[in-house]
This record gives sequence, C-alpha cells and structure tokens, in this order.
Amino acid sequence: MQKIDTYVEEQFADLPETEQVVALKEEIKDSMEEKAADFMLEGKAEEDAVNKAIVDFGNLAEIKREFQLQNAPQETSGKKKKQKEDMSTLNLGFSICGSGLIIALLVFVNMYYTPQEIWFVFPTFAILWWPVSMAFVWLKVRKRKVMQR
Amino acid sequence: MDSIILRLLMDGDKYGYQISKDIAAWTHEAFQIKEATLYAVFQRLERRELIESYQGEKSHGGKRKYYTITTLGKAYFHEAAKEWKEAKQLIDVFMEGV
Repeated sequence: MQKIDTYVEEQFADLPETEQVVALKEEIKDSMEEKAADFMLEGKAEEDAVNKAIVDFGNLAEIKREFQLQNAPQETSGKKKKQKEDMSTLNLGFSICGSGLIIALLVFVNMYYTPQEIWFVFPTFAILWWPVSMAFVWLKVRKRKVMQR
Repeated sequence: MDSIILRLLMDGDKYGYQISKDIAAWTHEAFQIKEATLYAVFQRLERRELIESYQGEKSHGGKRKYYTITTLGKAYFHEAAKEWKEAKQLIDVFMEGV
C-alpha cells in the first residue's frame, strides 16, 4: 500500500499542502486502497492489485483541474481585474483634472498677456486628446465588465 | 454524469468508492466510471453547492468522507430529470419506426 501513498503524493506535489489538499489526498488514497483490497479479495496478488487500482482510478489531473478551479484562481483573477478597472477610472479622473488645470493656465496666460488675440483654443484641442483617450479606455473596461456578468 | 451521481445520493449518503461500485452494479458492470472522473465531479458539485461532504465513522484506519445531497441539489436533479424526459420524448418522435 506504500506505493499508493507515494504515487498520490507525487501527483499532487505541485499543489500547496493546505488542509483541503491533504483531505483530498487522503480521500483518494483511501479509495485506491479499498479498490486494491477488493482486487485482492478477487484473488490478485498485492502488487498486481495495487497497480490495477492505480491504473483503473484514471487520470488525477482531472481532479486537480477541478480542485484548482474551486480554490485559488477565482480569487486572484477577480482581484487583478478589479485592480485594473480601478486604475482606468483613476486615470480618467486624473486626465480630466490635469487637462482642466493646463487649459485654465493657458486661458490665464492668454487673457493676461495677449487679450487682443485668442490663441488658447489651439493648444486646448491638443490637450483634450488626453482625457478623450482615457475615456475610451474606461468605456472599454466597463463594457468588458458588463459582458462578463 | 452530474445527474447520475445526484441520483445515487438521493438514496442516501455515500462515500466516493461506494458510488463507483453502485454505478457498476446498477448498470450490471456495463459502465465503470473512473474514480478520477468521479472525484472531479464531486469537486464540481460541491463548488455549486449541490452536494455537501462530512467525515464519517472510521474504517480501514482512516475517516471516510461521506457525501450528501443538498436541497438545491435535489431541486437541480428534478429539473434535470424533467428536461431529460422532454428531450427523450422529442428524440423518440424522430427515431421511432426506423
């Protein structure tokens, strides 16, 4: 039965030793051992029975995939996306405030030094590209979020 | 697959290996499920809260993990059974008399 133990531990070596993983491994080992015991009752030698139990059990990767789905990845991926979304909103706010300040400065310089000629609108058009591009990024992120729901 | 396991759990709480034996017995050994598949399905059903597990009494030197169907699981099974019957009827309409 030592062989079952080694085999399961090997297969699950890349998963962290959390309480759930240990419980899952125990369950699988118990099940394999019982299966091997049944084969021995049918008259198989222990070595034979253990091998057959392991082979018949099937691919453990299947269980691992479901297990990982259940635990870690959901949390981390959700967190990452949320972080990204927060950044896009912050970027939009910053670009609006920043461009507003620059435009205000231009208007002030224009009115204070050359009130006879209105030239501040030209650089204003150039500066407006900043908040506009940020707004599009923000809309894209929001649309993706709605579609995911 | 999910429905088969839910059906077997309707008859009472069971542990993993018992279910695989039950499936073989119900189908007169015609269908042998791989335990790996079975445990993967358990993980999935538990995640969807259709079944629950608890530690049972000791045997073979270890505690056995028993699975039990939840109310949600029962409702899900009845829904799945209804859908299956409807689908079966529909297919029968086209397959009969061939």
